[in-house]
Amino acid sequence: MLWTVVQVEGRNLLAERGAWWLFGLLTAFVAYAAWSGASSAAAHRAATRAAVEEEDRKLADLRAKLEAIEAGGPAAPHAEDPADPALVGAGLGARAVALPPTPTASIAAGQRDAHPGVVRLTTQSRLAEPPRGDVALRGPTSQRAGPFDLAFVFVYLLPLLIIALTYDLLAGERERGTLALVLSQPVSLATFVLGKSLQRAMVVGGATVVLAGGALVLSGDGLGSAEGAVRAALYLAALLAYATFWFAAAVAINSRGRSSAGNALALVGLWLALVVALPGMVRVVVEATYPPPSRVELVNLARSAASEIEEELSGLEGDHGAEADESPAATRARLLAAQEALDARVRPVVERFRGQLEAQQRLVDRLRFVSPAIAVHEALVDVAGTGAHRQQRFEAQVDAFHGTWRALFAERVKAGRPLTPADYAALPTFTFEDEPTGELAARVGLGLLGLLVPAALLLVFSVSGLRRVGRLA
Amino acid sequence: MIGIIARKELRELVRDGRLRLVAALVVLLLLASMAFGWRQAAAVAAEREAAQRTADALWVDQGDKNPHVAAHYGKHVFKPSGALAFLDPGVDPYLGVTLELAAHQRTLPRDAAAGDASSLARFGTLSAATVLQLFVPLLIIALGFGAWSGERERGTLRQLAATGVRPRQLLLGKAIGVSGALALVLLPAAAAAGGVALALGEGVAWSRLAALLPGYLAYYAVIVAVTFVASARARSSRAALVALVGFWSVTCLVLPRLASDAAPRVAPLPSPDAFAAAVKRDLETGLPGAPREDRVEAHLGTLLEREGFEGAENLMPDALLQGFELQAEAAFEDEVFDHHVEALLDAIARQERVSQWAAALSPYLAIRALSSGLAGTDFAHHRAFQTDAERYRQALVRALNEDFARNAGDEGWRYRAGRDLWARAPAFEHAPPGLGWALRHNAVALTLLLAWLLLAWAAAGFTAQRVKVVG
Amino acid sequence: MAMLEAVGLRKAYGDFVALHGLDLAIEPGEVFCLLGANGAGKTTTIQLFLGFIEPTAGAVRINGLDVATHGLETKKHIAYIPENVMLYPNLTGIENLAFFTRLAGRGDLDDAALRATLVEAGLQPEAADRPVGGYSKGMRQKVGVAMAIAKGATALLLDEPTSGLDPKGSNEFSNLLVRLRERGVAILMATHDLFRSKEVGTRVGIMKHGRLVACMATNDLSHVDLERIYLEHMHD
Repeated sequence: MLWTVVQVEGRNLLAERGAWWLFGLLTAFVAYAAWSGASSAAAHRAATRAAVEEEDRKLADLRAKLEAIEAGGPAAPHAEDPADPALVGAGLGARAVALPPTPTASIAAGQRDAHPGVVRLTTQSRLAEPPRGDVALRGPTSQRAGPFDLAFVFVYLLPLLIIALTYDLLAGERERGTLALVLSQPVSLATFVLGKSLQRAMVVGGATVVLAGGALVLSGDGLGSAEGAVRAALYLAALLAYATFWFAAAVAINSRGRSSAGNALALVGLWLALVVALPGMVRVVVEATYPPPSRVELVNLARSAASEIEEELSGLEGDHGAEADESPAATRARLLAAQEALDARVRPVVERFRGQLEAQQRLVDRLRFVSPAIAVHEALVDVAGTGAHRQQRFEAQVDAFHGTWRALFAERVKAGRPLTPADYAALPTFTFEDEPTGELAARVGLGLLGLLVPAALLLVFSVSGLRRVGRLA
Repeated sequence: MIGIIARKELRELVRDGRLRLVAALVVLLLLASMAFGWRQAAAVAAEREAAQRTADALWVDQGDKNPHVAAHYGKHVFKPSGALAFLDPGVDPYLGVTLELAAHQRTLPRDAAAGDASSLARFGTLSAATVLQLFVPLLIIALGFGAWSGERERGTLRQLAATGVRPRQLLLGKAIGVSGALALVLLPAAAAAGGVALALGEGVAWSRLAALLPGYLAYYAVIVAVTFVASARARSSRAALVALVGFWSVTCLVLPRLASDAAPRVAPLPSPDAFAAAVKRDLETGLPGAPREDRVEAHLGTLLEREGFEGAENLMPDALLQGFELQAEAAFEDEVFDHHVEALLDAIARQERVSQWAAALSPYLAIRALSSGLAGTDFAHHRAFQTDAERYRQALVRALNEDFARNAGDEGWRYRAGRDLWARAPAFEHAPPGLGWALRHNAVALTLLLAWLLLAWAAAGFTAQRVKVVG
Repeated sequence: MAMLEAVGLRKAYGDFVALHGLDLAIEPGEVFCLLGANGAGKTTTIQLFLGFIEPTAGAVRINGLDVATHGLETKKHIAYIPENVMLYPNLTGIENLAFFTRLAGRGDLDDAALRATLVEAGLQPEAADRPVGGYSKGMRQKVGVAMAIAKGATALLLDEPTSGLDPKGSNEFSNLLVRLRERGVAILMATHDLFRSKEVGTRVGIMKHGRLVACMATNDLSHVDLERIYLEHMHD
């Protein structure tokens, strides 16, 4: 019985030109998003790799130079001495670290463009002086509109496609007059509506899996790994759960027995509320609850702290004149001490910063259940590895690594011990420890419950509605 | 005749309970977002003013030091937010706020708010502009999608046509009816905007606020016309509604993203690393065709000539010559900075223009550009701030170098200047450009909006003449 | 046992009473024609039999089963032909028929059998493979009758099935009903057509303001009598 409805509905859908257009458009959008996402992820990957390799090369050059000098070659000028730990640590050499992209990075750009892709670590305080200009080198309007990535297509456009296919699921039958004939047969309204929505759900679900899966296969990088497979599976699960929610919403609204135009308005209104308005409001709430301290004030704080420290260490700033008075080694030790002191001063404020941002994310994790669009978006950026969780994890690891890096140089500066080629060889490298996939899956899975539970509730609600609509007016 | 039709339309719309509910929600959202924008704008203004005072104090209280060392120490300036940022924050959250002004470097503003946003940032901000630009058009669609098709389905269009009313009169009457309903929604918002503007006080440019009004009205007139065209041509009301929601999602969702993807391809920007490397290289060797030594020499020559020391280098005190040399070097560096930074800013401006031209396909993009331009929250205003700040930086460095040249005397690098000199540097003032300037920088968007207006109404008139009376 | 039966059937919408305690029993092989002005309660009666609306009091039974409690079960026995048989315009006549008969639980009928019923209902064989969107009203009514035949319905509920049909179409439709009647189908038909009622019906009932005010066998009546009695009842 159910299957009969599904079959006829399938034939009806095939005969509709509008539906072909819609699927064609979705295919085009997905294809473009996959291409765009892949190219921007690849560009990001290439740029970060180039920056990291550039710094590695510089360190290798310094080491080669040092070996040449030790082998009796000409000495290097003072300002380029590869054996001077203060100079090398302060910027002659650096370790560039980057958050490695996940195999599924092409799904969602997330906050990638808001964070510096590469962090250069020296003995300088990283806290007082954030990397310069990295945000300004992008067109602001482009940043504002956001990229045309797969997350956009599925979070914003997929529900609209579902709405277009389902707003007249039941109302259309009534308006065409076929419903009376159907209901004069021994078939319950619930079975009929279920069959119809099941057919459309299968088509949309199938198209989603094929398109989204194909897009990921074309744009992903290293999906063959266990991690890649888990991420890809979570991505498809998230999209299917989201589509399920919208189908349930469409069935629920159809079950109220309004006209098809009324249904369309109600569904578009719901879409606007859940996808556009609510996320904006939740953002306002989140940022008002845990406002980050002012960056602008941080600038002044760092600056006054720096001058106070300068005063305490009684010296001069700038390139000119200072060197005459003290030995270069002493100057460098002093500058290093200044950086450390500065770091200590600024750290509480920066910690507060991070604390607030982490608190914000924790609140987002709770409030994502307010809107399915937030829930699925959070799931997608998590799966793509471009979300706040992974970024904050990265920040913490970079911080720890920076500490090790600085300590290594500071120790040699203070002891007045020059760097040796062996020291260069022993310099630590940074490897990002990704979150265990189990934790990721648990968090994303919880988010998906936020989609499936409301979907189930809506379906229960529809069944009660369908009982009443069964009586034809 | 037109009046009669308009009154009937308005009465029908106002009596629809669901439309009343939707309109009430839009008004509520508009007022809430404006209140939030107001709070935000006031907080940001207070914060930046306070920060500017602190930064100025830090400058003045930096202690005694050599003027050129002070130039290294430099000064921070903070960008004031746009005049109508409470209404339309535009691209402000994506632009830097803090600018460090010091010798030997021209930096780009940093600390954009977007850098600290939660992962919800991708959903955009819910500002009054969002409601006005995205939500109100949907309200218009809800009000007007049945304007023609509904009458046809009910059969009332036949009767109207039989009374001999001319299509153009019908069209105008319906337009006035929908506008009347819309006015009921927008008047409270306009009043609230005026109220907030009053409360915010002097900073607000009333002329800009006044110019926003016709801009938005033109935008809504376009949407009304498009709605009528769809309603008159569609087979049924629901087909009209589906087509209009499709139009809305393509012009308001898809095209902005496509334009944002296309802009960097049309006008690519260098990576931060490549940019920094190019500047560094040219600071060391000079711009192509103008080697560093030649340019520094030339600047020094000009300086000496202006000051009347031409050919007397050997007779000058060391510090004087050194001061002039510092300034000549600074002038050379400014050339390099100007070359690179202006090229970069030009490229960003080209990207912005791509977005404006994309308005040919989407009226939303036209009003978005125009609105943030008038609100003073677009890239053009940001650039004006940067230009002013750079001019100020160059003047500051020059003044300090000249002080060093004239007053160092035998002390040379040991010469110290103090509070007097620091306090003599004028405070940085940035007066936002005027209304005409803002309009000129959005001429493309303005022209395209007007083109949309003309075309959409021509199409509406054309379809009204040929509207099918029976389905 | 009566195939279609209404016992003390009452339907009220708030203060407005659409049907005041209707009692009616239609045996197999009987055609009962309900006459009456618009709003007299004819369509309400049919919708109550279909279970589209619920009675305020009383009961409707089909083949002895109460519609209120055995909604789906009763529908296996009935076929419904409204004034306008609305079908899926993108599907062909045969596809529409196949869909509805399978919904009716007769998935066992093959394509040939379905085509045969369409021909039996009077549709030209070549029309069966054309989309229904291009059918005339008469052709759609014939598909409706084919649905009833294919389903093997033992009761037929007709709501002004011939209004708007041309005389020839109307005549063909009447002949189909007579054939079904002869097979022992119980038919309840709401109609305005006095002439056809006399031709097809075994009994006619006249409804007014929700009451069955007259009920008579047609073989006792001439056309003229029927019209006179009807008009008498319509005068207040």
